[in-house]
Amino acid sequence: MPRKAQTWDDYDSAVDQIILAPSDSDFLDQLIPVLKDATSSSRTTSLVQSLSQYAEDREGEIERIGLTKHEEFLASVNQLQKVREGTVALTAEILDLNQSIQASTEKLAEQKQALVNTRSVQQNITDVSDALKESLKILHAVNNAHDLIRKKKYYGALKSLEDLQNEYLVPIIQNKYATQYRLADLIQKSIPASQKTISEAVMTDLNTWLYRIRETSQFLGEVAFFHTEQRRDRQQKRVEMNEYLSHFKLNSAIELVFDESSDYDVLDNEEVQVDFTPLHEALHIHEALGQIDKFRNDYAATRRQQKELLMPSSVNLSSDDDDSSLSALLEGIAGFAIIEKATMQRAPQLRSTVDVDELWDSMCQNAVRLISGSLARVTNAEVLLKIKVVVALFIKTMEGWGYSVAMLNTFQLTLFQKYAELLKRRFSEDFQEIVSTDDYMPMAINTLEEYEKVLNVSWLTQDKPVEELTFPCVLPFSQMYPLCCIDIRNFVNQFYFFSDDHFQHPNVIDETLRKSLDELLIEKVCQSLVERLSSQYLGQIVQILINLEHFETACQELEQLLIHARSSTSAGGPVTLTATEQFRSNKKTAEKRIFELVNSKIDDLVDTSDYDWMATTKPAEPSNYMQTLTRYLSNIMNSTLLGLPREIKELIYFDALSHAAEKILALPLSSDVKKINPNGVEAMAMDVQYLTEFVASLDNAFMLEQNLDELQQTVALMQSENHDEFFDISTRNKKYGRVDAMNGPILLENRATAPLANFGSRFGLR
Amino acid sequence: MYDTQIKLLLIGDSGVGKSCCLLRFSEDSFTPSFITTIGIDFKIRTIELDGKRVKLQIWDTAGQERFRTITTAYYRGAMGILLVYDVTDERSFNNIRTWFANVEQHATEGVNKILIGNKCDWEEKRAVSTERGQALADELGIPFLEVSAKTNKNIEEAFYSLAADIKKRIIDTSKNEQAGAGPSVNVGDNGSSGAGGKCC
Repeated sequence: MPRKAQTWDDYDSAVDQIILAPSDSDFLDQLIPVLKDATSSSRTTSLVQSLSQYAEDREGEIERIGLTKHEEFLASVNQLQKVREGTVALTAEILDLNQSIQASTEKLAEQKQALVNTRSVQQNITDVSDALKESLKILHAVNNAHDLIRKKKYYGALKSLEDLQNEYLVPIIQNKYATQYRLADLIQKSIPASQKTISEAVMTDLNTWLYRIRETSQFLGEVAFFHTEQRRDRQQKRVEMNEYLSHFKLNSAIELVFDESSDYDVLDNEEVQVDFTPLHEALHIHEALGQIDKFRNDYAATRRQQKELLMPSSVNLSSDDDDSSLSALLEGIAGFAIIEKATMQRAPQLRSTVDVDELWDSMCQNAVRLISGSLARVTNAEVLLKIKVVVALFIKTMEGWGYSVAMLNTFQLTLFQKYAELLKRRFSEDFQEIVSTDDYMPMAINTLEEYEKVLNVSWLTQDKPVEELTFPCVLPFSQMYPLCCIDIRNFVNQFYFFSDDHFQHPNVIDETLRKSLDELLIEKVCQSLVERLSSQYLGQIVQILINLEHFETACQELEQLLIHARSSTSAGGPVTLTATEQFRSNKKTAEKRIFELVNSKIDDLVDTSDYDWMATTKPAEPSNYMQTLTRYLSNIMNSTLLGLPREIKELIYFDALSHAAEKILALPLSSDVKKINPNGVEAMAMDVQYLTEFVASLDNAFMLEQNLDELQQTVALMQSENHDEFFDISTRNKKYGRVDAMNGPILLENRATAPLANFGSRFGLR
Repeated sequence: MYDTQIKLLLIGDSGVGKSCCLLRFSEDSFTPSFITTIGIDFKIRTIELDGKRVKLQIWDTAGQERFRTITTAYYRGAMGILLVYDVTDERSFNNIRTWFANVEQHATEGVNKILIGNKCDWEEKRAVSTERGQALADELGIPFLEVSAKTNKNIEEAFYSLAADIKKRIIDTSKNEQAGAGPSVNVGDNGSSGAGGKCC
């Protein structure tokens, strides 16, 4: 603190004191305050006056002293002079000093001003620093959240955003005057964007996951199929050990219990692992964001879209290793659907049964539509079997996952119908080929091995024991018969290839098989044979008749075979093939055709007879035509017709002889024949006699001979000289009972006009 | 009706197409088949030769050995014999000599013969050249024709030429010998078969 300056009211006393100061320094010390005071109170003049007064007093004193003491006076004057000089110098110095003090005070003020300024800047800096520290905390929290996003710790990020809001932002925003208000506001406004970033990041992860799932789908399906196959194999092995288990199918409770020990997870195994974490996380996040509904919808839409992508535009049913193969399609669907089910189990709030089933149904429909579309191009039944196996595996697998397979089971029926159709088509062609390339000759067998082969397939009952057979031997039917039998057996077997554990419609197989087989037998075998009856080759017709007979037997056996082969255990009762009756009734058609053909040959031969009814000489031997006719009949009986059953052969002979007799009888009755002389009669009689002898030599002569009665009696009548016998009822009945009542008179008339005829008979006639 | 009758006979190995030739000639039809004739068969066709209606009775024999006894019986009544081989089957051609020998042994002496090479449409499978066929015919001293029952090539010609030869040999000759005799061929036939004895 500055010392309070001493003030003087009157410098006179002050001057006395100053002057009286013992030393120079005291003097200065005394003087300066006075000067200062004078200066500050602007009484310098007064001081100077006091000093002058003091000096004048002194001067007067000195003068008195000088006067008294000159010397001393002079010295004093000198001394005073010096003092005066010193005073002036001092005054100047004081002024200087004053000036210098004034200057330094200004400087001080300036510095003080600068100091004040600095102080306020420093305060500002401190304030800013504090604000920044507060902001940094917020920003750290924000950064932390973003860091967590980067580290894919989305939930943490979300939580940290929430904390940020609760801890910093909300309090700040509530205080309108808070320093960080704007920042908080800004950050607060950015929070939805951050959340969106998180949700997007999660979605990106989910999409990656979904993409990977899509990629894995097919493989997953393949693994699932493989698993089902293994289960089926295990079930099969169990059935082998315990017959009773065969009552339980795959996916049945029993099977599942038996298979419990192998806890194989299709979704997590050596081959394939499906990690649902991204899905759960996405679900978690969206739940946290309160966007679960949106997420559910998005997810559903994505899956629907994926389902669309999964379905190809076409499916190639005949190739196995193609991307567009049936396996690939069904594996894809299976994988997709399995993931759906698994998702539903793991996140019931995300996928509902309705969603999942809707997609499943849609995929099934699509698959069925695709396969049906391509079925038309399948021409090979084996391909269809393969298709069926894949579809069955698919059904069993998906059934195991709790999906409804009703549509697919129905579709199997479609497949089966197509299979039946293809089989039928193929066997149709086979049968047609067999029927058209047959040689229609009794089948020659060269070795025992060959014989047994034929016997095994042909339902042939052999009377002779095998040991008594000698080879080569001949079987009654032509080779088409055993070939058809093989085909029939194959046909039946191949039909049942379709039937197995997976096929739900055993009675459909039984019924379709019966119908198809019946149709094949009727249309392709029986009908084809009947068509060939128009042939000109007697041998062929005979063989057809024999074959028909064997086919009839085969059909009866086949009916039994079908009963035993039946796959449905429920259906009972007999199996009837219409073909059996068809073969039976067409034997008659064949028989008729044989009669017809033999008769036409007889016609041809009798037509070559050229009796000279008015011959001039008696004939030397039977007519050429008669010899040819009998020889021909005998020959065909021993060759062409040899294989026929005895009773049919007898019938043919019976019919042929009856026809021949009729034809021969018609010869003299022809309108061209006007007259017949005894030579003519003799020629005919000789031929009839020849024929009679021929018939007598035959096996069944007794029965066959009666066919000739009319002819014999008529010729006898023509030979007779006594025509009255014919017109006398009693003798006529006895001798000419079989002679036609109209023909007799005509012949007799012709005979009567002959040169050798006598008048008597003529008279008798009229 | 007809003026005269001629009996012809087809012989040759099994499968050479005898029945097909006959079916083509008698009914102008052809059906590829694997059917073998069993025993014996015949067809009738009436043709016109020099203004005369000639009824041809053509006998078709089984080529297989096991029917030989039956078929041989028909040699004797035949007035003309067609020896048929298959130009795509060397064996059937080589067997013609055997068939010819059979004819010589069993048929009526002087019976007309013709050598027929069937299936001549099947060039890519041909095994016997026309020249060889002709050479054999020349050696045997009989006419020769290559025919195809399938395409109907030379079928008519074969039967017609054989029938014409027979007519020339038998009917025309017998007419000259027995001028004024009846129209029956049987007379001529019987006359010639008299030398060979009874048929069957």
